[in-house]
Amino acid sequence: MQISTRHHDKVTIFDLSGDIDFANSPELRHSVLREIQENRPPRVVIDLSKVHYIDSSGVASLIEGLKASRDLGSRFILFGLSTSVREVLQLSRLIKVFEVCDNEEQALAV
Amino acid sequence: MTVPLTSMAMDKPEWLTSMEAVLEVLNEGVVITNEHEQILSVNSRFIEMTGIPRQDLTGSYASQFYSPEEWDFVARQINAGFQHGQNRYAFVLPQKGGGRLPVIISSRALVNSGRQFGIVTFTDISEQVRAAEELRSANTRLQKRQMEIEEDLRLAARVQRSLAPKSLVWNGLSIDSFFHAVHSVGGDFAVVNSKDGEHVSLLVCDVSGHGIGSALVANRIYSETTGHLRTGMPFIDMFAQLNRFLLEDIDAGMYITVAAASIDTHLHRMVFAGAGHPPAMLVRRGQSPLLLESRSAILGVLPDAVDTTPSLELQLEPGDHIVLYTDGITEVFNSKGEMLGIEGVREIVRQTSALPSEEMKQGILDGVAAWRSGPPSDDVSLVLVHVR
Repeated sequence: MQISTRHHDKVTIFDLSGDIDFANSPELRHSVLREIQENRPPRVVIDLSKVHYIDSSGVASLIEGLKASRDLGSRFILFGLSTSVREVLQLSRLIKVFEVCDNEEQALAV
Repeated sequence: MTVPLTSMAMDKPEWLTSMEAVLEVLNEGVVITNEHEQILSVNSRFIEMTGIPRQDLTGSYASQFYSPEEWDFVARQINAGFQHGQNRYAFVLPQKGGGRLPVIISSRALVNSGRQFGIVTFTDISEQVRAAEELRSANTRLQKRQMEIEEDLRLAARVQRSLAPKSLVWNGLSIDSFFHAVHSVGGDFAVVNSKDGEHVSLLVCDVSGHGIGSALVANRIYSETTGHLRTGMPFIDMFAQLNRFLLEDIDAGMYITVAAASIDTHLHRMVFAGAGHPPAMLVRRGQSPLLLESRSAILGVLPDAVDTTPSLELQLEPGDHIVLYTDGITEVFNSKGEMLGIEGVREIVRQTSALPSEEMKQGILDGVAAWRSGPPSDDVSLVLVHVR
């Protein structure tokens, strides 16, 4: 998995690529939580369009980011879910707790 | 054999006299010998390394300082040096008092004015040898510790295997199970028990991660769930308690997915509930397997993970199969990177559903293995119930 960060106005966008699994999900959790706690962006957007696979530990890392954002009154939005990523989120019954958009334009506009 | 000392043999050639000053500044011991291995000259560093005074060295034969066995080896090396013009090998340098200094010996043959000389340098490697011995000793200690850890893990694996239900037949139900941890121990477990002899409870649980941490949490959750199942606690209450337990008591970022079923063996009624778990399957002859979806979310990440609507209730029929499993069955990739997924497993289950229970279980495992490229990367649990 690779993580890169962009800043767009007051939005932080995390571009993720590769597979997110138990081996690297702590790195994702650490990066997202550090950004939220240190810079307190009003909106965090996670670009999953280049993520082929995410396991339940990766989903849990996203939940950690969601909880930290909610604590600070920020929004936490996902976009670009592939079929397999969407399936894992649906199976874990957590897709409903996230704001999910189809693309970056929507994620920045909603 | 020593050769009688002759004045000619002991004559110091002119080039050697001019070279001795250069040899004195070297950090390596240097010995110049004639063709009879008789020492013509040594530098100060060599004297320092051996502790033997210069006058005792000059004119002596190298063989005098070694034991016969040692000299046998050194003589062979000297011959090789003269044959090939040079040689380099690790050995020891005799010291005053009988000590032996580990050294690298480099020898070079030199022919001058029809005479043959040997220029031999000795590099002290006692530090390296000591470091290597310390490393060997540390390796031995590590290997011993590793063996102790492996023994502990073997014991832990035996304990964890005891958490996997045995295949059994109970009041018209036959239950087959399979469990495989990707490491010695893992985070999957399954429970089959009964609160009163009439109701059979089934539960498959996947604790996040693999290895010792997951196995420890799996054991704690196992104790909690078996207690709850024996009291007949409704599944949504049990999930709520497990969720609280994970968030408040474990609080280590661990979470679980669960599928649970309770079957009334007389009325053939089944109650099912899942939390963030891949759907269980109800397989009825001639029909596509029915997916029994989780209504609650993964436990251990959100306080409101549990769906409070009543658990799913189903009427079972003779010949039905119920398949419970963990994501080690579905999240399996082929060589093209395609995931088997729920639909892939559903198709394997459909294809094997006409087989006897034990063969159906093996058929499902074989189908998953056929899809998978490489060894398993996740723990795998499979419980198969056949209603007779």
